Amino acid sequence: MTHPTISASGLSLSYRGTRAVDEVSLRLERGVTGLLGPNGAGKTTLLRILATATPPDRGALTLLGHDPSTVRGRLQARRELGYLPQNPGFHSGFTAFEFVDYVAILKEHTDRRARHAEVRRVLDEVGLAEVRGRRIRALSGGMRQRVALAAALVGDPGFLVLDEPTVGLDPEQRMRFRELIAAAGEGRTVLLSTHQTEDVAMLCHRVVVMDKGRVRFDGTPGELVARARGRVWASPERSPEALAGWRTGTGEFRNVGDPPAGARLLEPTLEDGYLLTLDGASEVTV
Amino acid sequence: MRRETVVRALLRPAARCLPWTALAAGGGLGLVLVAVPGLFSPDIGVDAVVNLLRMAALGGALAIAFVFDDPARHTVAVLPVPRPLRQGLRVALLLPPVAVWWAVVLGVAAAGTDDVALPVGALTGEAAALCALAVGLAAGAVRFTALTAPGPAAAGTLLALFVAATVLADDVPLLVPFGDDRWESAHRLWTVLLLLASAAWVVCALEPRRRLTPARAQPPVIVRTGRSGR
Amino acid sequence: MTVLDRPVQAPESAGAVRAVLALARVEARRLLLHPMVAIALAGYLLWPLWSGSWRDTHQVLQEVDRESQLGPLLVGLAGLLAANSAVLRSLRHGTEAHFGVLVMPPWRRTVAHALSVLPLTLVVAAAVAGMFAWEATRPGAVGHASGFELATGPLMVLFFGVLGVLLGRLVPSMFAGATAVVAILAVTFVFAVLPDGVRWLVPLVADEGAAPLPSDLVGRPARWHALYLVGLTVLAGAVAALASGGRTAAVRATALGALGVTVAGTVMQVTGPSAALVEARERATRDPASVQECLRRGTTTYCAFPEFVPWVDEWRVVVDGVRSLAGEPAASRGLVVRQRVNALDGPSGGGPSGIVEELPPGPRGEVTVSTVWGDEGRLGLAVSVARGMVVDDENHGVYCDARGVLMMWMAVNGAPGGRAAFARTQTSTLWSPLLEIRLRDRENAVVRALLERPAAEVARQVKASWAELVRPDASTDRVAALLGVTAPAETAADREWRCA
Repeated sequence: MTHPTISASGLSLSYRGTRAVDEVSLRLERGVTGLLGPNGAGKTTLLRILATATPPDRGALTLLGHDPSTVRGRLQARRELGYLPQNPGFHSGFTAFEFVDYVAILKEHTDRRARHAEVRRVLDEVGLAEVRGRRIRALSGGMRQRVALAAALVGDPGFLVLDEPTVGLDPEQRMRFRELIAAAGEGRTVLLSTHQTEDVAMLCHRVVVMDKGRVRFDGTPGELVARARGRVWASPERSPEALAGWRTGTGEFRNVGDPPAGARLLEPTLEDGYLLTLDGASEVTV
Repeated sequence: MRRETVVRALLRPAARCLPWTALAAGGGLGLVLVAVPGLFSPDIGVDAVVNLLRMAALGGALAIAFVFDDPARHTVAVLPVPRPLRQGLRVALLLPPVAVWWAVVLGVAAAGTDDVALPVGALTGEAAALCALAVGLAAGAVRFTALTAPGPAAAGTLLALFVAATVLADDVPLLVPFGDDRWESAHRLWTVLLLLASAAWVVCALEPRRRLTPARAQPPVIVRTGRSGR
Repeated sequence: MTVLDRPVQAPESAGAVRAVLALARVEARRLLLHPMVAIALAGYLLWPLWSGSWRDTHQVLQEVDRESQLGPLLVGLAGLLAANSAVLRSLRHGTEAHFGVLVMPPWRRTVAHALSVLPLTLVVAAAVAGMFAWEATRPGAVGHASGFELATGPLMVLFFGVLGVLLGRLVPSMFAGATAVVAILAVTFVFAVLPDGVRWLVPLVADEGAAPLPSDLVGRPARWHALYLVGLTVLAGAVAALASGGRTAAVRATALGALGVTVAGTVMQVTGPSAALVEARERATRDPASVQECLRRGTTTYCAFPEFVPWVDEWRVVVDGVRSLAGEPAASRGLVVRQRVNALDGPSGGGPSGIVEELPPGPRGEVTVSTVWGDEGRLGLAVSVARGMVVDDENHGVYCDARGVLMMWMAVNGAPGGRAAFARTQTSTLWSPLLEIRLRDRENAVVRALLERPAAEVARQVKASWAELVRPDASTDRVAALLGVTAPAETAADREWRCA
């Protein structure tokens, strides 16, 4: 068991009377942690709190040993933080190199030669060495996303916050991106928010499910899958007991929920566990 | 018949999309400028008042350059309502308030300058040409780029052209002093400019059947407000 | 407890300052390459070539210094738009969400944007210095420039750029920049006629139109205006930093200090001319002899304000040229050429270039030369001298007789390049510094006919008939007959004139 690099307890943040994040406590270690949840679950808000973009209303937070509620602590934390926001913007007239260099300056990398070397390194790392001189407006969506990841990786941050980095990517690009994230997760703490349960299944050693501002599940992907064990079954028609059910390619229905007695059980997936977690008034497992 | 219904239904949403803030700022600036002589120095002279009215018209025209800014451009572009109709509607909605504003500007200017007859018609011609130029430039930016906000580029170009016309006043007699020998010919030139700019708008409003520059084909998905920040 | 022992960057404050400078450097490059700025700079640098003004000679440096400000004004306005657009870039492209969590806080970014205007300022300063050095070394340059006037252009560039940054921090739309440009153009060019107190609040105060004054009579508060611009610039920068969250004691103190400097500059620049200056202007206008240096060349005495003495030898060429056309005794009569200027209203008073308006005529035996030299100045002096030779007075009036023809012919032939200049003009008026020689159509036709004839032959005939030609009763017909041309009949318009 490693030491937690990030620990949060009792984080809360309200927007206009709605609790976007409600008493969230989390401890993150090195490696990739996946954050799953439906739209509006508070994922982005939690990520923004952890990335020091928004201070919480209540709660305590320690990032890599720094307390971001103090000016000095926040500054120290930001030096060791990489953030890829949801819908990252790009200065489309900049080249990939210029843009990442700009971010590097804002991360206070002041030695020009060292900074340029660092920018080249991260662009190489995300596989953009070839196109670093091209303007961002001339890059494809997948390449732009990699530019954003490169910007987050500048300065070799110890904590990487990635907000839905694989949205809008085609399967091949997503695969390539997973490789990059997995590589980035070696030796640092990565928190990855996503809608793609596959991403979590393939990348993460740990998964957190959020809904309505609260943590519904916190454990390994295997444990999440295990929640659905015995609760996925096949039937010729849609079972009335099923929370969700759909006809698969084989012509049979795949049902998720509480199976009737004697049902033919199927091997569950992470997605099944996720759906059941969201549905059930589940207790938090820490 | 159906088109009429469409136009009527579009009126309200189109009116909400117009650059009202910019218009209020540009129009307000124009009013403040022409009000100054009346408040502080009524004997500023007809030449200065004519120039103030030109500045006021420029302020209004700069705001009008933002008329085709539309964040939803790429969504709207493929709808059955054609571009000339959409753009025409925006301009038509803009005309009445702009006309009223200009009348007020002229009124304030006239009130501030005691017993001097301002060349109202000629200046209105200049203002109309500037506004047409703004619309033409914005339409050009829409026609030839994928910008969702052609306003800044169009306004910048208009401003640069105006400054160039000021600097090159001897070579391009547009901004001539009132009573100058070239006043008449200058206003023929303004009329030509008005017609050319309007024609340019019409040409640019028509949707092209064929891409001019295939190399530029970019999925507009992430093209945000467009061009570089430079 | 620090778990990951990653190297923390250099000492915080030093690193932060260096990062601001690094950002300023990147932004400065983009600012210089912004299309609007690049076009404005190119236009500014090429304008002297395009307009041909690079060939101008006989510059008066106390005029050249403030004429150096218009070009930078336009570059500065382009800089305003570009800096505004740069500040709003991350908002426009939605990168604020990302940049907001980076180490450099927004207010330091604002400071970097403000600093990024400095290189453009330096480029303009170098251009101003280069252009000034060129003009100061052209033949016939006289006078003394003010360093503060020369600095005003670059300071305006800096101020406008920082103003663009401030607007970007206050209003999240590029329309604010365009509006500011229109407002600046309006106050600069339209409100130039405002009274002194208000006028100096505008960045550029052109003071065009009047003939050049000796430098000690200019009396523009250039020093205080430069201070005012510096104060405004720092104030705008500090307010921009405050507006983007930099509420540190240093920024507040800077803002307060800048406010003080601005107020001081404002007060000092609107106080108006001192009593001593008003008296000096009065004396130079009413009694120029008391402050002038005089040089004797042949039978002519040249009296000039000390700074303009280098022009005396060039005046002499014109004076001798006209003199050589006159007959005796006028040709060898003593003559004083006196430089005169109307300094009463300072550099913004007076009439069109080179005309000393509303000055009383000088005494007999004196002719007037202005503070403008060059082709126009030559012809003007030639007119003065011809008039002195023929009628020896500086009273207004149209000569509808031989004297009018004679004066005009002598002026045009006496001044180097005068014939070409006269051929180009369609009017029948020549301006002298104090007043003009105006001809009726009839006399004008005679002069133009004379110019068709060989100059040497006409000159011989003029000398031979000098005594008769300068008599007040010598008619136009008579002069035409004596010099071998025919005079047309009087036109209706001719009869409208009141003849002297």
